[in-house]
Amino acid sequence: MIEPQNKLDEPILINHIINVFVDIDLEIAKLHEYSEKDFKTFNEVMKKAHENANSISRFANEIIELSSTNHNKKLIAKLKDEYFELSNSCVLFKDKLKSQSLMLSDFHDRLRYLNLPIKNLKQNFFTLKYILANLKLETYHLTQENDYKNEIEIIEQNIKKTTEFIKSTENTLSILAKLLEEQITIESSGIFEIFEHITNNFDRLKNTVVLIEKEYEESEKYYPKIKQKITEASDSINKIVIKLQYQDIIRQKMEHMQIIYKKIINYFDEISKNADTKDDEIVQYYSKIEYIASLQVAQLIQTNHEYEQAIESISEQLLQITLSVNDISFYFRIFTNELPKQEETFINWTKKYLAQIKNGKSQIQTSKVSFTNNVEELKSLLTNFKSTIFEIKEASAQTTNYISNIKIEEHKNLSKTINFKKLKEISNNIENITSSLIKSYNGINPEIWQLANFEELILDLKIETIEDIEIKLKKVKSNEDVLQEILKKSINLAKKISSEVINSIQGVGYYDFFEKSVEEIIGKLNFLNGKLKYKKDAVSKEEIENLKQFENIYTVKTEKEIHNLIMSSQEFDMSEIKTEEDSEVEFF
Amino acid sequence: MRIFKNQINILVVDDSEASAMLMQSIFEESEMFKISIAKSVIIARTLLKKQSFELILLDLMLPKVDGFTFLKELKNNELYKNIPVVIVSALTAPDAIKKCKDLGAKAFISKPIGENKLLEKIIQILKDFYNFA
Repeated sequence: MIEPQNKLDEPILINHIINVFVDIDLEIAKLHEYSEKDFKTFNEVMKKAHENANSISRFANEIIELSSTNHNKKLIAKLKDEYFELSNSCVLFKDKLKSQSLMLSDFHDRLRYLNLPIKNLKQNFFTLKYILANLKLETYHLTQENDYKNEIEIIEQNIKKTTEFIKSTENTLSILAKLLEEQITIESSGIFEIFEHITNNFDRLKNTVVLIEKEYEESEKYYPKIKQKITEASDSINKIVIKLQYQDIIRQKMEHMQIIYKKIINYFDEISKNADTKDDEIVQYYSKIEYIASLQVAQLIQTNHEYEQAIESISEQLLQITLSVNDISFYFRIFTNELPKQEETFINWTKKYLAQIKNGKSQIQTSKVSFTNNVEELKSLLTNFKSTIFEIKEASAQTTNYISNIKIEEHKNLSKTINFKKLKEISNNIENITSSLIKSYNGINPEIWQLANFEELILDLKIETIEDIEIKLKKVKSNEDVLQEILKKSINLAKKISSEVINSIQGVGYYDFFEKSVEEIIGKLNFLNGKLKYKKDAVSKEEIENLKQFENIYTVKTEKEIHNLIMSSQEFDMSEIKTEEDSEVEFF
Repeated sequence: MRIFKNQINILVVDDSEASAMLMQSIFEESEMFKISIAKSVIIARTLLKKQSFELILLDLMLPKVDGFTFLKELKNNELYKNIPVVIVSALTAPDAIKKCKDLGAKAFISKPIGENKLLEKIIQILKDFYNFA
């Protein structure tokens, strides 16, 4: 059995070296376990974050889609058009109704003016009747040649007929006046009021829609911000995925370290059991350990460095995801907490106004019945009135004609009692009055005959359009509901990501174990190295060359680079070793 | 010149979820590709029996059967020997790369895989191999 401390004057035993390497091997096995656990945790968090971020991204796109391009915005634009259309037809109708009302008032005034000539006419016929009665009485005793009886009777009959016409005209005028008064009352107090109300509601609706539109425009400015945050979260996920691939690299490096330790342990095991081992061999192997220790320290430092970088980068990117989703969540809250509430109010207002318009419309329908009936009656009365006036004119003309043709010779006695001049004068008056009546009648606006068209105007306010507005509003509301649901889900997902990320970062074992453990291993290796240092001159160049056997263990480029640096010089700068940052490709 | 009327089927053999996920997200951005993932050689063998692939992306460090062994197996199989295999691995030492070349791989892409270059490289490999448009 070799006693190294005697031969090398070193207070270190082979078993001691074996124990150190066994310890280190065990430590590395634990490091392996920890790194796997850390990466596994990150992998799981990242997978969930990836899924959730994807969902948020999908939701955000749906929200943007729902809020802007294809749904509510278009609906609202259509609503606006319909409101304008309805509002315009309402204003138009109101204007027509106003002018119609003015026409009715004018007609009413004209009818009142007609009363005067009719009264005059009536008075003149009364006077005529009186004169004729006198004439009949005074000429009763006259000879056959001077008998005016027959002529007077014809005139009297004509007067009677005319007076009946006048009476009928007076009645018509009175009914017309009453109807017109009613009509004007309906228009001024009833329909006008309703239409005023409807127009106001349309204006409110229009304003509401404009407000909703404005709110959408306001919310649109957040879309690019949300999209940017989603891109940032997605970029962070990609960066994490790249860093997570270091697990393979780190795993490989630690496995290689373990292979080397196992080789050393096996060797020392063998020589400790084999008494025939030559001292020179042992001395040379001790010297190798110095290099091996330096090599393993360098590999560990590099692995630790890469692990630390990966963990820090993953943590940093995970926190970045949390920040991004929190920002997204903040923007989403603007939608949920502010805008939708206002929209809800707007939609409720709109619905209220719409209900009022519908109610107004039904009131118009009710008023329309009496309105239309009145109009029809007015039309028929006006037709009668027209024919009566012409009949009066004709009958009057006949009377005046008879009077002018009456063959009454001026008689001394008669001239005392009968004013023939007056008779002619009245006859002329009647002619003038009837002409003025016709003139007044012709002065009536011919549009008065169009009164019944009011009904068509009312129908211009299409009920289908109003119902369509209601359907569209319901759709806007339903889109809003979907939006709210998506927003709620998105915010929950964002919260979930944040809490999972924070938990995973808190659970990272690297700082608690890996870093400390690596420091400990390095300390042990340095101690061993220090103990064996004095014998380095005993190592031949050939032996160092033999160390190349370890190079074959390495499969990662940086491991080989470190190995070559250690073998080529005593001092080297770790920063010369470049960590694999991005993939390299080699085509065969 | 081969013209791909349908999607190009790519088999990814990698036990690392991160790598698989990254490759999936990179390729799925382009509708040109359809990705199937096998976390072990055993799963890869099953998938190969079920459908045809235009490309295999193979990791070397795999559980039970490693990438080198599977690459050798593919190249010795009449059915699969013409499918181009691209190695995607963290094993970047020259001898590992040389071994892949000797076994018949078309290219070697080192891990970690970056964000943007992979797709570009794969398209280049497919263009060279299939001379496709």
